[in-house]
Amino acid sequence: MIVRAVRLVPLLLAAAGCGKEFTPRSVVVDTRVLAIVAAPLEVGPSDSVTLTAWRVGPPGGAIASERWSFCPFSVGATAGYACAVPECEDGIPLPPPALATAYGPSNPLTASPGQLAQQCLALLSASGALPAGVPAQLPDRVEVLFRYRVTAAGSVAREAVQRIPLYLAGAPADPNVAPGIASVAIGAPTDVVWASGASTGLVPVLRSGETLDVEVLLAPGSAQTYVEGDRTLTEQLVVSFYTTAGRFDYDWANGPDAKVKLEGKDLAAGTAAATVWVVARDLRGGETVAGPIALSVVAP
Amino acid sequence: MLAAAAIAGAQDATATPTPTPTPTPTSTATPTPGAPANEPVLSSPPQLEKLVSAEVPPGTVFPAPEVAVVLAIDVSATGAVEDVRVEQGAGEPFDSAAAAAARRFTFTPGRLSSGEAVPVTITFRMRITAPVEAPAEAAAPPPRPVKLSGRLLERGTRKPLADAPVAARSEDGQETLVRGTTDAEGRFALEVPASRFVLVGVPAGHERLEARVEARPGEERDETFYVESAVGSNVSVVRGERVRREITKQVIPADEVAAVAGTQGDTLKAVLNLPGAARTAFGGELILRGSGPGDSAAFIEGLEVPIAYHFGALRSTFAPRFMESIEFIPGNFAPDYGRLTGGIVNVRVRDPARDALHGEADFNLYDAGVAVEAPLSSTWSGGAAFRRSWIDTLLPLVIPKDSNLSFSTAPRFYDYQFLATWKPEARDTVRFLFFGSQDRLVAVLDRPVGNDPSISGDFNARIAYHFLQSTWTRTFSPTFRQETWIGLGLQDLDTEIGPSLFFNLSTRRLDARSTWSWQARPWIEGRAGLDLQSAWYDIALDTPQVPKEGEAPAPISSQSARITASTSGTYVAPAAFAELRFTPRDGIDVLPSVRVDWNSSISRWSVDPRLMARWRVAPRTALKGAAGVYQQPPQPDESSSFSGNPDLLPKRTYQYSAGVEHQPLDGVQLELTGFYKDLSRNVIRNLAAAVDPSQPRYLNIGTGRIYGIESLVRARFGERFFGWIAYTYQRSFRTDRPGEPERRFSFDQPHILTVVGTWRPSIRWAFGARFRLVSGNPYTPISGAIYDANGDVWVPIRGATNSGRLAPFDALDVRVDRTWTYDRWRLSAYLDVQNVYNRANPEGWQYNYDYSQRARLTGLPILPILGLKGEW
Repeated sequence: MIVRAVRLVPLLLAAAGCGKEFTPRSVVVDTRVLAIVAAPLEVGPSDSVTLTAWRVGPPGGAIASERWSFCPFSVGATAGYACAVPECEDGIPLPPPALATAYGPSNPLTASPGQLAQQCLALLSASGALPAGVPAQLPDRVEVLFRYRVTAAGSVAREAVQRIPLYLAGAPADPNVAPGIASVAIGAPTDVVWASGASTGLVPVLRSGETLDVEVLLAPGSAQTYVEGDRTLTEQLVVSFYTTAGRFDYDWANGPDAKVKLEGKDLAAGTAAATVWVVARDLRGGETVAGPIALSVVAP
Repeated sequence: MLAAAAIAGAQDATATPTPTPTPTPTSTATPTPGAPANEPVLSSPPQLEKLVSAEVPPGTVFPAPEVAVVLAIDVSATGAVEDVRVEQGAGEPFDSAAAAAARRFTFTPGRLSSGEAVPVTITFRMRITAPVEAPAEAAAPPPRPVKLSGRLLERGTRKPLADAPVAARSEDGQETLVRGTTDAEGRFALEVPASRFVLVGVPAGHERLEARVEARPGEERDETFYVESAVGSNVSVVRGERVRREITKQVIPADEVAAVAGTQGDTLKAVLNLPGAARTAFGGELILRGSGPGDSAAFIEGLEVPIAYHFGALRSTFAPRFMESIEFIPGNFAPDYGRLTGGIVNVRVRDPARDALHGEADFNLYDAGVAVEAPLSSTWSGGAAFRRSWIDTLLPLVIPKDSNLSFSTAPRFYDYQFLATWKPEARDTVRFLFFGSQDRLVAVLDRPVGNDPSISGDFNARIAYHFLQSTWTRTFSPTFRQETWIGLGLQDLDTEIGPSLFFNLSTRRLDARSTWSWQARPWIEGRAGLDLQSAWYDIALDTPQVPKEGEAPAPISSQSARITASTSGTYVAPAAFAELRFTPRDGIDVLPSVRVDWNSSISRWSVDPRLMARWRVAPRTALKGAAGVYQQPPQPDESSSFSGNPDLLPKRTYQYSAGVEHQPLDGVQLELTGFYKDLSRNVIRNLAAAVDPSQPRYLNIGTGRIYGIESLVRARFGERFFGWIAYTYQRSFRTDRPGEPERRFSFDQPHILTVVGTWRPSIRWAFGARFRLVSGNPYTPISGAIYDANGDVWVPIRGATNSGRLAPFDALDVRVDRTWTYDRWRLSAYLDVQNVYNRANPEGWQYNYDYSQRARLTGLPILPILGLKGEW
């Protein structure tokens, strides 16, 4: 542990600007899943959850296929979210929503994680092959996993997961709620381009070599308190930014007043428009998307 | 205990055929890499107490004004002369006279750094000068003699030059007027029957002093003479042997490796160039013989320290000023040590100076330090050293102004050592050693960095330790000895990342060790001891589960299962050990031993039997072998009730090694050692716990095997050159779970070649170089990534663990030292240039956000480091 703590120093130095420059994650050049919005964020054994995947991509693209699957027992991030019971993930199909081919939110999937998990245990019991370590009964709390796979013509396939806490005794009385995005302003604090969940119609102009201020105000009360062990903590609110043209100076900013700059650099010749998205998270499963936000681009 | 050591080398002494006072020879012994690799440190060679003049028959015709006879004198552990042999004669009757005189010499015994008296063979050059013709009848009354007293001190260090012959010669140099010898403080007193004469001094290992003196008849004068040390002269080489408790134990005298290129004078860094030590990129871990970083440990005089190096590997946390030597044992160590399955590095601390006030001030790119030491009374001596880094001053200069990172406390470290030694009598030594270290930084990350939004906010890291160790050593008799120490310590580790992640551990430690040895007969010796580690700790944490060796770290944001606790507890780990040494015949030592440990964290006993044997098959060749059981309790996070499994067993390693040592010529030593380690009960994460929290987090289901060959060629030719070539071939594998395929250990480095050399053409200049060629570390390839929408991170999909391998590492470091010597102090400057040809050595991979692109993470570029040091 001691040595590991010391080894964080190089990471900090990398943070200071000593790392290799890749294409930033905030620049959308192919199909991406920006978020999977779930409601509710925590469920009881008989509750249903509705999931919507936010897919974005460069202008002109379209979704070719998508697939949802469910895994009640995942090995975790260390093993790349492999399913501990692949029989269930493969053998219990979810009702596929109609394919929305346009970039943006998918059509919602609604499923009951508790019932799906019980189906899985029944399937395993029937086959008589309960994998080592998999309990015969659902534990008091288990983090189930919804997996979303999407492909788009001419783009890479993407896979995303959303973890949903499932409580056998019922969802918490004070459930987690996704942070809200009150407004997005680009250019100046008064240039609000997004408010009340919709575009205001204002179209900022991003010129080559110039910089636009981007400010995201989260809704009051977005940062909830929660109990972890014997501590009461306040959620860490993180806002991530995406664009199809230009460069943000940072990919993330911390809420509730998140500020970055959008620089008019690396603009491809002939680019006339850009799209910006903003996603607010509480890093406990709560996600809210603002976008698409249209920008006019003056390329060199 | 039967121990033998030998000193070879020229030592000058003069003797006259008449029973007049004669100079006492000085014996200078410098254990060096030129000595056998595993040699003990002969800290105190035999000192001649009684010099007997060689007497030749009256009327003997001398072929020259002075003849020399080179003798080999065996000095016993009690200081008596056991045998005398003529190595280089001058003919009769000189040889017989010299040998007869030498048999009547008496010495103080030679002693190892441990204080143990050992037999030593010295080479002694006895000069026999023709008797001075009786002076002619004085025509006039002789002038009143000049009373000249003074001191001989080494130039630059003011070290007293004891037992040095001095004489007053006539101005034309033809006649010796009077002779004398300096005492332990370098003082002498002569009554010279002339007012104009030449003072001549011949201290061993130094330039010859010739000072012209003009005085008034009857004048009394007191002067100090500074004599420059000489490179390459009068240096003795230890080439004897003593009982070896480990078959591969390198004892590195601290001052020997201070000038190794690439280490910036840091002795503890230099040992990582020895066979068996893997190269680490960042972190400064001890990776010895293919064992994990937590399986080896660093000790200061037997007291385990939590961190050996500041900020990874910049500097050692114990400054080299008071280091006497470093013991480096990559495996098969003696039963004195346990709770480890890898190897050990132990720093031996020397006593402060007892002759005069000494000190140093050191300034270099990393840090600045100061040290002083002095005698406090006839029985006490004390010393202190302090060092602090400059990094916090320099770092802001290289961080971009628009950086996301700002430091409220830039990375900085300090360390200190205070020590006092009390020697009330020859057989007792009491030492108090108070030392400590702290590394600290406080940073503010304005925004998340890397690919993980959790890493933002305040970053605080602090690692500190402070220890007070009191040691009492008593030699009851030449065959019965004990050493006991008790250590009290404080350790703090505080790490905080952002608002919710933290790990705070505060520990009060009480450690102790007592070792008793008794040599009942020359062929049998017993040694037994107690070894205690105990601690009272307070811990508070909220962290994700820490990845184990071979596991890939997952982004923090992807881990919803945290380990949280706030608790206190105790830890007690007593142990007892015993060892016997049989010597059935000369040259053969067999050492069976056993160690019994108790560990309160898992409430289990462990018994570790071990065996070592050594056979000197020829005067310059020895065979050696060892086998033993080594058990190590689980790491605290593995056995704790809130983060691990308290029902774990200690992990176990069977270690075997065999080798040969050969000394083809004086100053050159070859060593070849093969080893095999069979690992079982490795602690592995239980995957079922990720699904079912009621399952234990860790299980003893891992196994492994390690094998390899270590070779070492060490050379030392006087003080002009020393160096070594170390090559290690080793393979290290692990099987994490039954049925899983075997994988490479994360630091599996099949080939490790290190070439180190330092050449001192004069006392002013030294040139050093180090070249390393090492296999690249394994890595786990990444085939894709999954987007974790909860944490806004991409989680890599990894291939077979450690199935990839980085390109080999190679680097050349060079160093130049320049020393200016003044009468009372010495100034030295060095330029240590790392990675001279600026090779971009791969140390890992750096990935973009979704792991679809990667670039090499490279090590340090060319890095010149300039240092200045003043010593007085």
